[in-house]
Amino acid sequence: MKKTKGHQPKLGKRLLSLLTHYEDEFSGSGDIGEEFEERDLDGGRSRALLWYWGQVLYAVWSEFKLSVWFGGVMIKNFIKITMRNIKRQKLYAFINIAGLAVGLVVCILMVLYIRFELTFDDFHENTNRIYRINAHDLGRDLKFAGTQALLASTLKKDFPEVKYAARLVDWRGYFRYSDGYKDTLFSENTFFCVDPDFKDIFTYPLVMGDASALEEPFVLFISQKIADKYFRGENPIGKTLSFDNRHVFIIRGILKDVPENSYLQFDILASMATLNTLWGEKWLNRWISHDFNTFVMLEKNADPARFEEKLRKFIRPPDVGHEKERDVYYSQSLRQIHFGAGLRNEEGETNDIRYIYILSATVLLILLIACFNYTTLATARATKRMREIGLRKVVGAGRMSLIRQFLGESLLFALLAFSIAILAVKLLLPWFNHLMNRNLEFSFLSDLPIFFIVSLMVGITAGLYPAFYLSSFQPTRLFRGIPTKDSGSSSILRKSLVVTQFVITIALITCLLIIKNQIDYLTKNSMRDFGNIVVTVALNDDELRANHEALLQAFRQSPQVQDSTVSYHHPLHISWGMGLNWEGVEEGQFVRLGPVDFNYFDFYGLKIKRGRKMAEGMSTDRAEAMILNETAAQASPWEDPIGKRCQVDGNEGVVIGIVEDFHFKSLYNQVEPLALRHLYTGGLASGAGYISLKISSFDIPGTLKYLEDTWQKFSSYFPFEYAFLDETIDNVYRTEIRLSRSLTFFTVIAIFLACLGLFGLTSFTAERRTKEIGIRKVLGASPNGIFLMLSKDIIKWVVLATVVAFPLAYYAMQEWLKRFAYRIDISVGIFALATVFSLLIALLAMSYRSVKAATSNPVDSLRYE
Amino acid sequence: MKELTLLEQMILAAIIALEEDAYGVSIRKKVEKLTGKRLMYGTLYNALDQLLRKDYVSKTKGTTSTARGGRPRIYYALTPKGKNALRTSYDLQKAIWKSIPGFLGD
Repeated sequence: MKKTKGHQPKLGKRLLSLLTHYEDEFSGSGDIGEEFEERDLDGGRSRALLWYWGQVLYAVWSEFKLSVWFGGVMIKNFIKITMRNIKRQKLYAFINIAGLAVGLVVCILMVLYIRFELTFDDFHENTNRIYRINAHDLGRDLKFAGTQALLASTLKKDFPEVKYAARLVDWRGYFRYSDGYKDTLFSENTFFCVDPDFKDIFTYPLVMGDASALEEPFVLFISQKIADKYFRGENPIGKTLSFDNRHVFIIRGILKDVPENSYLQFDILASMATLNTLWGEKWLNRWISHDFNTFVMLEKNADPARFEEKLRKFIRPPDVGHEKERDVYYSQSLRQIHFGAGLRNEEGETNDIRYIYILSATVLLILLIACFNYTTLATARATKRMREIGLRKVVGAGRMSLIRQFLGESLLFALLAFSIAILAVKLLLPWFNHLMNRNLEFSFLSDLPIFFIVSLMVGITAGLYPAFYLSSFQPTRLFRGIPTKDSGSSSILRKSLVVTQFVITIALITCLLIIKNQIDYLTKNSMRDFGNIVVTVALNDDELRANHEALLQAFRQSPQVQDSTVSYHHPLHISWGMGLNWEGVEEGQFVRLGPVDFNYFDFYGLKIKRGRKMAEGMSTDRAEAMILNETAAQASPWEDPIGKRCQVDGNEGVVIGIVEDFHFKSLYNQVEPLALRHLYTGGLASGAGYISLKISSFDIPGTLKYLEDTWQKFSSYFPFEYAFLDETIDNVYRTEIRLSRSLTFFTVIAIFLACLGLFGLTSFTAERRTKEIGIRKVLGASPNGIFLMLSKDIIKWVVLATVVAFPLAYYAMQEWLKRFAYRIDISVGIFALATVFSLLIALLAMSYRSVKAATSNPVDSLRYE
Repeated sequence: MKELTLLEQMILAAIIALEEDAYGVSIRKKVEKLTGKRLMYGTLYNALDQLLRKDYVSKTKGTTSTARGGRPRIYYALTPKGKNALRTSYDLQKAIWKSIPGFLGD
C-alpha cells in the first residue's frame, strides 16, 4: 500500500467499492475518502487512518445489515433467529465458532510469520541492485558464499557494471571499555569487518557519526542497542575500547539497530583496514581461500544477466602454490540469500523456501478444515431446520432471500470467530514469537482489515454450500413429514468432507512423526549419545591456548568433572581443509585436519576400525601419528594406508589407524575425509582451541560456577565461554527444529478441529437416530452393539483417509529428507503408529456421544418427542 | 404512517439547513454541528436509504471529477412528502412537550 499523503488507502477504497449498494446509491468511497483526506491534512495520519478504518468496517457491517433488510427479511428477525439457534444449540454453535476461530488464529499467526520471512532484506534502498558473489569450486564441487580477498577490488576495477564492491568477514574478540572507575566487558564478541563501500551498498543508517571513517583502521561502528547498553547516557563517539588486551579501537559512529529481517545481523562493524594489522597485509591481498563475503551493487542501468555472463567467464589470476585451484563465480541477489540454503561460509541465517511452501499449504488446509466443519454441521443439521425453512417459503420468502439468510448466518459466525481470533492472537503472539524465535507484531491499523476480509471469505466459503442446499428444499415435501434419510448427494458430500479432514490430519501426524524421527536421528548422530553432559570451553585467550594444561588440571580438581579432552576445533566443526601428499605418490588428496589429544577417541567414543589409536606411551605418536577416517582411507591410493607415510601442512605423518566415520559436521553433508593427529605435532603448542569436559548431572550450576571461577584465576581479561554440546547440536538444526515446532502446533490444531467436527457429527447422528436406537434397545440390542453401529461408519472413513494420506505424506517427506545426506528410512512402524493414533483420536472424539446414546434408557429416547 | 425517528429528523433538518449543498460529508458534519452527534457513515447511509425508500428525500448526482477518487457527490433534497413528515414530527413533539408544561421549568 503506497502511503501518499492525502489519499485514502487503496485497500480501503477497494473494500468500499465492494459495498455496491452504498457505492451506487450514496457514493460511499467518495464521501469517506473525501473526509479522510481532510482529516489527514488537519491532524495526524494515524488518527485519520484509525477513523477511516472504523468507518470502513462499520460500513461493511451496516451494508450487510441493510442488505438483509433489503431482501425482505428483517435484520431483527434474522438476528433473533440466529441467536435463538445459537442458544438452543449451544454445543453446535460452540463447535462452529471455536472451529472457525481456531482456524483463523492459525491463519493470522502463520501469515504474519510467512510475510516476515518473505520481506528479508527489502528495506535496502537499492536492494534489487545488490548481489553477493559466490564461488563454485569445480575441483571439489563445493559452493561457497565466501570468496577470495582480491575479488572485490578486481570486480570494481574490471567490471564497468559494478558501482560499489565491498568485502565482509566475521571476526571475533573481546572488547573492554574502561571509564576510569569501572571495567566493562562486552558480551558481544563477534563482529563484521567491512570495506568502505559497505556503507554505499547497504542501507544501515547511522544515527550519529561519520560513515567515511570506515576507511581508517581500528574504527568501530556500534548499534544503538550496544550504545544504550554500555554507555548509558554518555555519547559513545570518540570513546576507545581495548580489544583482546592488545589493540585499541575508537568508536566513530552509532548505527540504527539492524532490522530483524536483515540477512546480515550485527551489532558491531569494524573497518577492513583493521585486519591489515590483525591478520597481516598479505591475507588481504591474495587469491586463496574463501574467507570473505563479496557484495556488489550494480550501476543503475546495468543488465544483471550480462553481468552474470561476464562473471561466469571471469578467471582469477593464479596464486603461487595454488595454480590448480579454480573457482567459477556467480552472483546471487541479496533478497534471495535468505532462501538460498546450501552454501558454505554463510554469514547469516538462511531459511529453506520449501519450508515456507509447506507452511503456506498447511495454513490453507487448516482453514479448509475449519470451513468444512461448518459445512458438515450445517448440512447435517438441515433436517432440524426443515420446518423453519418450509414456513419461510410458504410465507413467501424467495430462494435468494433464504440464501442470503443462511450466508448471513455463516458470516455472522465467521465475524464472531474473527473477534475471538483477534483477541486470541493478541494473547498468543508472545508465545508464538518464542516458539518461532521471531519478533512478529500484529498491527491493528494495517493487518486488521486484511484479516477481516479473510474471515469474511471464510464465512462465505463455509456457508455457500449449506446456503444453496438448505434453500433448495421443497416446502411441500418438508411438510409432508421430515424425510428420514437426507438426500444422497449431501451425505456423500458430508462424508467426503470428513474424510478430507482426516486425510489432512493423518498426513500431518505422519509428517510430524517422520520429521521428529529425523531430527532425533540428526541430533543423536551428530555426536554420539553419551548419557553424559558434555561442556565445551573455548580457549579464547592466546596465552591459555599455549598453556592449557594447568587450567585443565585445575578444572579436573572438581569431583564433578569426570573426563576431559582437548582439541583444536570444536568437535562439531572440524573445518581445516588441507592437501595431503603421500610419500612416493604424485597426486595429493584433500582432507580435513583435526588436531586432538590422546583422550579424544575415548572421550567421544570413536571406534577404531583397524590399527590403533594414538597412545601417550608411544614416543613417536606426538610427532607424527595420524589417524584417518574410513572416507579418507578409501580415497587414499592404498588398499590399506596403515604404516604409509605422508606430508600434511608441512609436517611428516605416518598413518597408525583407521577410525570409523563419524559426523564432525552437520548431517546435511556427506562425511568428508578426515585426518586426526596430535595437537603437538611439529611442536605446535598453540593448537589447543577447545576443552571438552564431561560433567555429572549433579549440581550443574555449581560445577559451572566452579569452572568459571577457575577460569578467572587464569585469565582476567577474557571471559569464560562455554556451551553444552547438545545445545550446540540443536543450534545447528534450528531450521528443522523450528519447522517441527510449527508443524506440531499445526497438527495439534488440525487434530482439535477434526475432533470438533467428528464430535459434532456424531452428536448429530446420535440425536437423529435417538428413536431408532431406542427401538433397537427395546428389541434387545446391547449397548456394545449400538456403540459399534454408531462408530463403524466413522472408523471406516478414518481407515479410508489413512489410505489416501499415507502416500501423500510419504511423497512429501521423501522430498524433504533429500535435504540430508544422512537420513532415516521411512518405516512401516511410523504409518502404523499414525493409524493407531488417529483411530484413537477419532474414537475418543466420538465415544462421549456414542456411549451416551448406547447406554441411554430407551424409555427416555422413545418419549423424547 | 410511521413517525420519523430522531435520527431521521436530524438528517432531514441538516439537509434543509444545508440547502443546495447537502451531500454525505456535509450532512454528517451538519448533524454534528447542530446536535453534537457523530454519525458513522454506515448509520447515515442506512437512514438515507430508508428516507429515499419512503420518498421523503430525492437525490441528484453531482459532476464527476478526479477529486474524491473519481466518485461523484450525491446531493439530497427533501420532497414535499418529506417536508410534510418532518412537520408532523414537529407537531407531535410539540404536543408531547405541551402536555407537561411544568417539566422543563423544574
